[in-house]
Amino acid sequence: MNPDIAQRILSQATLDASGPFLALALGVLVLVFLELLPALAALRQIVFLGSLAAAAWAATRTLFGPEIAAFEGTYVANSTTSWWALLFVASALIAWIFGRRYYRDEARFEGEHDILLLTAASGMVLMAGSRDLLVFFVGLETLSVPLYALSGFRRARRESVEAGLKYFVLGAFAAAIYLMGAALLYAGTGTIALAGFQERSELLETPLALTGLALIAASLFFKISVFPFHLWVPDVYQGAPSPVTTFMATGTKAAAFAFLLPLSFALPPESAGLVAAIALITMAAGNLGALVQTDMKRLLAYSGVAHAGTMLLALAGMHADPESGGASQAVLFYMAAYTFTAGGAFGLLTMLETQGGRPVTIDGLRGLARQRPGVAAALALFMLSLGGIPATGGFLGKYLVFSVAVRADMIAAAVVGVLISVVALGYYLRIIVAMYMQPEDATRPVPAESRPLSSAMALACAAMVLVLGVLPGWFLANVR
Amino acid sequence: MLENYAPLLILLSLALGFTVSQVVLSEVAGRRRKNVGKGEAYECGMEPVGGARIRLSIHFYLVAVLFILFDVESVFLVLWAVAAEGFKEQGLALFVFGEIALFVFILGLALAYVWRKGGLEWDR
Repeated sequence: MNPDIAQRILSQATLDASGPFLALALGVLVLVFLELLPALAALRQIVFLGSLAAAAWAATRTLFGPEIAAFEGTYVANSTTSWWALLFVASALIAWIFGRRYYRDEARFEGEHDILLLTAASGMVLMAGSRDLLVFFVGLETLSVPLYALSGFRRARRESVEAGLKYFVLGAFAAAIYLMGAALLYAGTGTIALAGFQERSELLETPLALTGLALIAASLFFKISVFPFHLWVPDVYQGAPSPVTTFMATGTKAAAFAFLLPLSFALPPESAGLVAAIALITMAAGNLGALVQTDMKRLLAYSGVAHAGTMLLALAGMHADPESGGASQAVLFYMAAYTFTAGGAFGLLTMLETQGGRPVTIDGLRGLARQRPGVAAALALFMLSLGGIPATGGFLGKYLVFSVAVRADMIAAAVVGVLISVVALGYYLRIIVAMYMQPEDATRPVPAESRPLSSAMALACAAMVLVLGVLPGWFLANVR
Repeated sequence: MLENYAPLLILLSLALGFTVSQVVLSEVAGRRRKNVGKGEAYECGMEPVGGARIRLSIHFYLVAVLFILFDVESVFLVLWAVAAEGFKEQGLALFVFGEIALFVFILGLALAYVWRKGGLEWDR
């Protein structure tokens, strides 16, 4: 045994690298402790926000520095992982703020809700920084298990329980498939470290390792909701409590992509065409599925599937031509734009659902522009960004992704991808038409309750969408 | 080499001897009172014959989850105890103790939480 192991584990570098994770984990512990003492319940929100703020601060410390490896190289912190960590913090914050006063019957379990949310966020941070198959798995489960519980959080509602059970059963399968893949990969190469795969890349060509890689890819594709592993998404997103859907749609996908990017070099080069095909089919499946939806959460779930397919196209491009570069930046930027856009859209739906007391449908949005011009304007902006209209972050994300594909000489795939994306406008514009050009439903009461916190958050999301779309220079220069 | 297995042999013979002696003793010296329950095959307190789809109390679920949680904890403690020897020789006793103390503290916090929320009470 190495004598200086204690010194290495307790070094400043380790502390710097794992800072964001430690901040979130510590927050979880303090929140659990607060649950023991009902008198201190008022401190809960301070601890939750403080933990997120500490994690964000710790992430900015490694944002521009060199890569720091910790725990024998199984975990790293660099510019990319720090950006991911910031994104997860933003995602948790958006979901949490819009989720205030959402729960009625379950309000007494809000402490548990916050604990689970923060635990899931810490799992995301762990996933993004891991450079080892088992460390990633720990992060994956730290993310997934709280989300299973959160999906079924409104246990008096059948849809919520159904969503929780479906997500749990399918997620457990995906986890098992991942572990099987990791075991086969270990059997084929003798290592579970990403650096080890790079050293022994010739062993990755063996059938054993290839099978393992395929299984791991399948389970990651399940998490990022890619065809044919996307069928759980509409049911779970619709049934889960809206704040949880907000968090799932933005955070989970980002966390799985954060690991898929550094892992993807291990996939054989010939698979680029296959990945591109999967990406295009996913875009088609998501967009065509969304066209016929009436429930807003379900519609946005299908739209999320399509967006996952778009990001996968950047991965395929990176794969076809590793020299082309920019894929990591494209996915990170796309995901950032998507987090604020979808986070804001799901958040506003959460707000409308809280006030209206029932799920929001497209018909339910009719005439919203006259009743609540601010909400309608923000929702319209989010829809335009999801559809990829210029001057929004969504457009620039799409531009970066497709340009990666073009640089990698996958021009046909890029053209088909753009064409499929146009289909999406069909349903995004339908929502805008309903809000602005159709008369309101007279039987529907207009909620008067004002929600300053949610409104501020929606405004912040809208501002970020515009900043990413109009003034992306700083981000493009610093996001790698 | 082979004599290393002697303790195993002793254990095996003790176990066999105890089991056989108990069965024989109860056969020879035991009293017999027949009833319906005794005639059935033993199946952990469940009805051995009938449909498998019976309703179980949801209480079992919570107990099972908590049991597994703290069961796994003890597995980690055993591994730690084995590894701790090597650390102690290098003068890192305090460090490894601190590590496991933190681990147990977190689990203790979880136990306190479960207790506080009434998870250990059967009838709630």
